[in-house]
Order: sequence, then structure tokens, then C-alpha cells
Amino acid sequence: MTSPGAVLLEVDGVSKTFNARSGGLGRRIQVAAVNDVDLRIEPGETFGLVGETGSGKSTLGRIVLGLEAPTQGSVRFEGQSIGAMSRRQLKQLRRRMQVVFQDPYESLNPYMTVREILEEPFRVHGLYDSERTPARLGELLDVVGLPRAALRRTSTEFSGGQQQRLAIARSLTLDPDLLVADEPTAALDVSIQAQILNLMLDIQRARKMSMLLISHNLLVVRHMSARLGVMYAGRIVETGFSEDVYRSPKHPYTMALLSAVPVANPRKERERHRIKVSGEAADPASLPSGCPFHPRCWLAEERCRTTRPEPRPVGAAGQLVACHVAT
Amino acid sequence: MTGTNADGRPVLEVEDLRTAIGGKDSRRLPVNGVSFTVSAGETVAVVGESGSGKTMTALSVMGLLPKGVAQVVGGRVAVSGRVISGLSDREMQSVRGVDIAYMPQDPVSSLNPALTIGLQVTEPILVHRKGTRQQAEKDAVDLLGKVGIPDPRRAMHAYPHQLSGGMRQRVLLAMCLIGQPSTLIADEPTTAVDVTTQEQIIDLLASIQTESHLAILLITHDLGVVARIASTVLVMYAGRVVEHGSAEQVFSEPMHPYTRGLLQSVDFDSVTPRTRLFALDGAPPQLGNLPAGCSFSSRCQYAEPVCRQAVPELAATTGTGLSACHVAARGELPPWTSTQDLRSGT
Amino acid sequence: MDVELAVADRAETSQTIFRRSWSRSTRSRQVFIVTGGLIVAVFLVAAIAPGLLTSHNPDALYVGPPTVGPSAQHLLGTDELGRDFYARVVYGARSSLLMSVIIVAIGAALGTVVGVAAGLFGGWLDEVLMRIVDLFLSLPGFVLALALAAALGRGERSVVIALSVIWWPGYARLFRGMVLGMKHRLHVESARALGAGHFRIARKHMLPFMWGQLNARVTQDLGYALVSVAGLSFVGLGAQPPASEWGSLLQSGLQYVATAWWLTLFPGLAITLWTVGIAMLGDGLSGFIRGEREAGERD
Repeated sequence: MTSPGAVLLEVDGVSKTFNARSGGLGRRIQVAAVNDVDLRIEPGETFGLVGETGSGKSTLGRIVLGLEAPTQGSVRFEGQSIGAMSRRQLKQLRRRMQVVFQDPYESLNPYMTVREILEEPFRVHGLYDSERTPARLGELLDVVGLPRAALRRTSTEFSGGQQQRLAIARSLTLDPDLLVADEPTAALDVSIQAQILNLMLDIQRARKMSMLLISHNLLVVRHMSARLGVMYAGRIVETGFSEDVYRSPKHPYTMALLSAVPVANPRKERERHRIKVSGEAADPASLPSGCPFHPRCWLAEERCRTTRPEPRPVGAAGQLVACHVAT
Repeated sequence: MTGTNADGRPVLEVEDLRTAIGGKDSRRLPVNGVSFTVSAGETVAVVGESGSGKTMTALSVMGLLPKGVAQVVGGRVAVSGRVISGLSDREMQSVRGVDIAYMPQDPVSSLNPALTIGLQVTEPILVHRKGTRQQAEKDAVDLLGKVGIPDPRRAMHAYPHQLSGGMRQRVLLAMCLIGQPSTLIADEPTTAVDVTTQEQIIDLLASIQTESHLAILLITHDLGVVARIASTVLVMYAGRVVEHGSAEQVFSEPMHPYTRGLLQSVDFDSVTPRTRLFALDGAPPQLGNLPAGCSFSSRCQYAEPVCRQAVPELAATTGTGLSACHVAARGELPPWTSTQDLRSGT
Repeated sequence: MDVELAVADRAETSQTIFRRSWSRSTRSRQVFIVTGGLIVAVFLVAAIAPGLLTSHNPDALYVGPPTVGPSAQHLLGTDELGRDFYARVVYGARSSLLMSVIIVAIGAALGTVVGVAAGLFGGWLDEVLMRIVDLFLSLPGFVLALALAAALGRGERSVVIALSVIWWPGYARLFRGMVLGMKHRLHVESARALGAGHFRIARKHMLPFMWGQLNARVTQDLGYALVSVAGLSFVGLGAQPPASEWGSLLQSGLQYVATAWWLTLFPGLAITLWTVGIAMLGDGLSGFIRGEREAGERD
């Protein structure tokens, strides 16, 4: 366990650029998926990462997990840099940090039974104990609300919600300190989403686990996270305590995002003050100069075009905004 | 044929539509007695989760059901007074795109990846409007501009994969509008795009509707989108319509436990952050495995013995709409306290 | 929370690579398997226990009048040295089939290992291995085999070596491609995130998906390999007389093609039947073997 007060995860100046070819066979281009991102996650805390397509949130998630190496910057888990770890250390790290992906159907091997899927982490790390592990599997199924009879079945026999529960159970097998959840409910039906979110809340609370929740849905993120970060074009443009950012967004993009989220209330919908943002999300392959949001921003000034804004404190305590104009 | 109906009669009429999977006599009915009308200038939303039958309803109306897998086995569909439900595939071809257009969800597969946008938009124009290719190309550029594509001339030479999801959705919409249909079926138009683009697409649909009195049938699972644009709402569950009423009424006083459950599931505002949300138990049913009586009974907190025996019909309730619920029909559903109303200041 | 298990359409708790029960497979698949299976079975018996199929000695000279057509005593007639031709053909199966099976086995094994390694590890290993593969694939296969076999001297061993050498690169390419395609699948990423190493990932998370392709390729190749073996024997490499390998039978029967047609027809027929039979079996089996997962019924 981490010593109290010490940060669990530190992302420092992380950037990731991919080399690609335009349209498959065209000229070489650089895709700047993540641009100079800083973030911190405390033990037992849920940090939410909100962004739309091209924001780089999933790439950042994978870098945090060590599945992708950053082009620049570092990720430190309990003070230790992931990039500097040996193969063995990295493998050890996997026990402390786990993941739940968006598509449960794809993330589970259809040829494996539930038992094999849940046993795999134990076997990979040499922790399988013929006496104790089976009991652990039973406990895990109970935690996620799946019946013991599920052990005999293959994952394809379950519904989407059940598959995601299974994926969550798998992620918990080794008692991780940090769970990265990349759009855990996006592929599920609405009535199931609430179930899964509740489940994740319960688990997080019971185990005092940290969570990095990645989602395009601001409402979900605000509901589940103590602190959140809003990503646009690979940058965290606003970060702070969820309540503060939600009630009093300072970055124009955050404001636009909040305004665009449809709410299930017709009268409220009609009466809302809506911010209409034109254009499309910035293309990471050809980012605008200066602030990546400036072409779409109604508050943009000259300096927004020339200089990239760095996060600075605006608004409530802990609220950082990467914007020249915000107050 | 434009969609203006001077006497305000419905443009799309669907009456007791039934579709079966796996043979005429199969008991698996993804569309099981669905009825509704859409008038010119009106947006009717069909809301449901997976297995509800909402997409199958749209496909049934369009005659686009996969052959050998599913077929319409009952009911009547009429567009602008003309019955289309019995028509052959050949005859339907002259109806599709002209009287009623279908805009599919945009997974990348809705557009041909090997052809430029220009080609894909120009061809239908040539078919529908006769005239030279040059004229058709000019029309195509105009149309692309109308649906909000910046620099349409350049977009004509682009391939689908070079466009963003939002742009592709606009192209699909443009293609639907070519034949100047009176009715548009929009199947999950906002699901594959970002929230900020979603807003633009909805606004676009609304403005086109205002301009040409288009009747829109909106298929979606997103209640927020429904609240923004629909005037009438149908909630589907396991192939049946379980609630049918004005958007105003369905959102402020839902009369079916499923509708209530759905609304509460996405009601983040009235729950303290980081506490449990309201969640319905169980999962949407599979067609082959429906419980006896009301399909929703196994998940319903108000269920009574009669619910497990008899399938409830759509009936009037204390509200202004219809609900297929025994408890609601008796007026015994508890009043709905819309928590958004109670809360102040947000 | 009480969550009900989704009732499966098919009771699929088996963990083997076979997924569909006999009764649920299509008629054509059943026909293919039975027919192909029977053909293959007969051939295998001929290869392993030829005595079961004929009581004649394939090497015994002048058991009947030479070059006489099919008759009651000699089902496929006699050859120019009076040997019972049916026995010749039956005993020839051992040589022909054994060689082709070994060739495909070596080619598939070696090719799979190389391909999977190249795909998994990538980097310089991939580059090096693939350049070697490219080299072999760029040379005309049969000609190369011919040259190799000639250089190694006559006999079955040379043919097997020569053909194995040109056989494995195709498998390497195939498997490398499959591995590359699978590398970014979510369940592979999930396994990586768990800490699984390359071998485990290859074994448990990639290989099961490849059986289908492997089956298709191998059953097809068993036919092609036989044709190639027969081809090399036909030109005098490979099995030497008095061995009755089908290719060499064709060779010696060539001069009699106008007069003693059975001396060329039946060996040729044997080659063809084997190729068709094994292909049918493979095709029928492909319905049983789990290749790509089926798409479930999703709305």
C-alpha cells in the first residue's frame, strides 16, 4: 500500500506523437495525439478524463497503463518511472494497475471459459493456488453480481452488461491500486449503464481503489469522479474538482461541452442558454497554431492564435485552465 | 413530392405493424403491433434499447428487412395516403428516397469507401432528376452546402474515410434529401458522433424540417436527444410500444415503469455525485425468451400477479398519453415527482 | 443483485476447437466429411497396411501376362513386367502419401514458428526473417525444388527436403499476417495489460483463432504436395524403381499411354482422388473448427 499522502500516479509533461501515412498510402504525417499533459491521481481517488474523438484521452489511458510509451515526459507510479522499469518490474506493476475496456465483447477471449479468464491473472503471475484460488474466483463473481454457474460458460454466452461485469471481475483479481476504465459503459444499454456505474462505485469505495475514468460523457464523469480533466486536442484544457468545473466551467471548450450535452427534460432543453460551437474537433494530424481551440472559440484573441496557453489557476481552488482569456 | 399537407393529415401512418424473425409463423416478433402516425413538420421519436425493435420497425416500414431472416407479417404502412406495406421490392424502389427516405446510422459502412463523395451524391441526383451530369454535380455541391459541409466543392473529391463522423452523417442526410421525400427516418443520427457535433446535426435536422415540412421519424436510445427535438415519443420494449404520448407528457409524467426507469437511469442531476444512481434490475430481454404476460414484469418494481399473466394493451391513463401497463391503467402508478422541477438554481 | 444468466442458443461449454455438434451442421458439410473422410481413410489404409487391400505382391514379376488390361484376377491389369498393377498402385500410396504428409508437416511447423515469431516480436527479427521468406518466395518454387532435389541426389529423402524448403515460407507469411492482424485485438491487449508474456499470448490468445486457416491451408496443401512429389518422381528424382510411387508409375507408363491406358490412368486417378478427398474433408471440417468467432445476435 502507498504511504498516506503520497501521490499514486503522476503524469509529467507526457506527449505522444504517432507516425502515420495520410490515408493509408499518402505522404507521411505526424499525429500529435497527446501534447504535454500533466495530471495526478491520489490513492483512493477517482479522476475523470473527459474528451471527444481525437482528444487523446484513450491514448493517454494506454500510456498510463504502460501499453504505449510516451514520446516525451514520464509516468510515475508511486514515484517510480514506468519508462525506466525492467521487464520484471513492469510485470509486477501490472498487478497494481488494471484496465477495463469499452467493448467487453472484444476484450474477452471467446475461447476461454469464465474460469480460465479469471484464473489467468493468477497463472500469469505464478500466484495460482489450487486450494485458495477457486474460492477467490467465487468471491469475485459475488462482488460483480454474476452467478457461480458462470464459471463453466464461455464469455460469448453472456449479455453485454454481464460481460462487462466479468471484465471488471478480471481486473480486480490481483487487487490493483489503480483501475483505468476506458469508456466502461459506452457500449452498453442505458438501463445497464447505471448498474455498471453503481457497481464500480461500490467496488471503488470498498477497496479504496483509485480509478482513472475515461469517458466522452461529461455527466458520467462528473458523477463518478472527485476531480476531472477536460481534454481537447491532446491537451488538458481544464482540470479541477468535478463540482467546480461542472458548475462553473472556465474554459470555453468546457462551456461548449456542457452546453451541448442533451438533458432528458424538454422544457429545460428549450430554456437553456446554448453555446453553439461551429466546426469540427481539431484534427490531431494538423493542429492549429497556438491554442488548438482558437478556430472555434468565440472568445479568441490574437494571442490565442500565436501562443499556446499553459494551465493556470482560475476560479476555485485546484481549478487550472489552459486559456489566455478565461477569468 | 413535397411534404406539405394542407389539411394537416399524417404523412406516415403505421398501423399494427408486425414483423417476425425466422419464418412467417415464428413467435419471435421484434415488431409486435406497433402503431403511430407522423405528420408533416412533426418529429416522432421511437426510443428503446437493444432488442426493443426500434430499428426493425424502421426497416419494416422501408421494406428493408434482410431477406430470409425477417419479414413483415401483419399491419399496414401508408405514406401520404398510399399504402406501401404490400408492395414488392421493385415497387418499393420507387417509393424509397422519393416518398420516404432512410438515413442509417453512420458506421463507416454506410458510405461506399471506394467512391468519392461527389460520385455517391451525384448518381442519385441523376437518377431522380434527369438532366446533365454537370447539372447534377452543381446540385450536389448545393446540397452539400445546404447540409452544412464547409467547402462542398472540395468535399466532392474526398473519400468517406477522409471525412469525420459528423461530416459523413451530413453527407448521408444530403443523399436522403435528393428525392425530396415527405418523410425521413433518421436511425440513430447522433450515436456515432461527438456531443458538440450532435448538437449541430440536431439543429440541422430541425432547420431542414422547418424549411420543407419534413416529417421525421427519429429512432434513438438517447433520451436527451429526444427531449431536444421530438414532439411525440414512443417507448418500445421487447417489440411492443409501452408508452406513447407527447414529449412534454412522457418526460414530465411518464406513465410506464420502464420509461420511469430509463429516465431515472440518466438522471445524474438529482443524485448526489458519487452515490448510487437509480438502476433497473436485470437486462433488456431476448426475443426468444420473453416472460409470460408483460415483458417488463420481471424487472418491474410495481409488478403484480396480473402482470405475469396477461399482456397489457396500450390504454389511456391519468396522463394524456397511452401506456401498456396494468397498474397504470388502473390509475395506481404513484405520481411522478420530477426531481428537476423540485430542485432550484441549476 | 440477482442477475439471470443469458440462456445460450447453443450449449457451448466445450473448450476444444470443435464447436458445432454433428446434428446442427449443414447437409453439405456432412456429405463432405463423410465422403472425404472415407476416401482419405481408404488411402491411409493403403499407405499403412496395404496388405489389407490386396493380397498380391507389388514387386512379384510375371504373376500374369504382361501389359494386359483390367480383369477379374488383376483389377487394374498388369504392367510391362507382369506385375499386378492394383498392388503396385496400392503399395505406392505409402511412398506418395508419406512424403507429402512429411513435407506439409515440416513446412507448416517451421513456417508457423517463423511467422508467429516474426509477427510477435517485430523489429529486426521480423525484418530478417521476412527477407529470407521473400527470397524463397521470389524464386519459382518447383524449379527450385527440382534443382535442390537433383543436387541432393535421387531418392525420397531429397524430395522431402527439397519440397519442405520451398513449402515453409508460404506458411510463414500467412501466420505473420494473422498475428499482425490479431496483435491489436482488445482481448490481446487485455492479456498484455494483465502481464502475459509473448508465449502465453501466442498460445492462448492467437493460436485458437488460427486453426481454421491452418485447416484450410493444410488440407489443400496435402493435395498440392502430393502433386509436387509425383511431379519430381515423374522426372526421375524421388522414389526409384522398383518402388511404385505414383509419379514414377506415371513416368514408366508414359510410353504405353496409347496401348496400355491403365498404366497411366490409375496412378493419375489416385493422385486426383486423394487431392479431392482431402480437400473435401478439410472443407467439411472447416464448419466444425472454430475459426473467427461468429457474430452474436446483437440489435
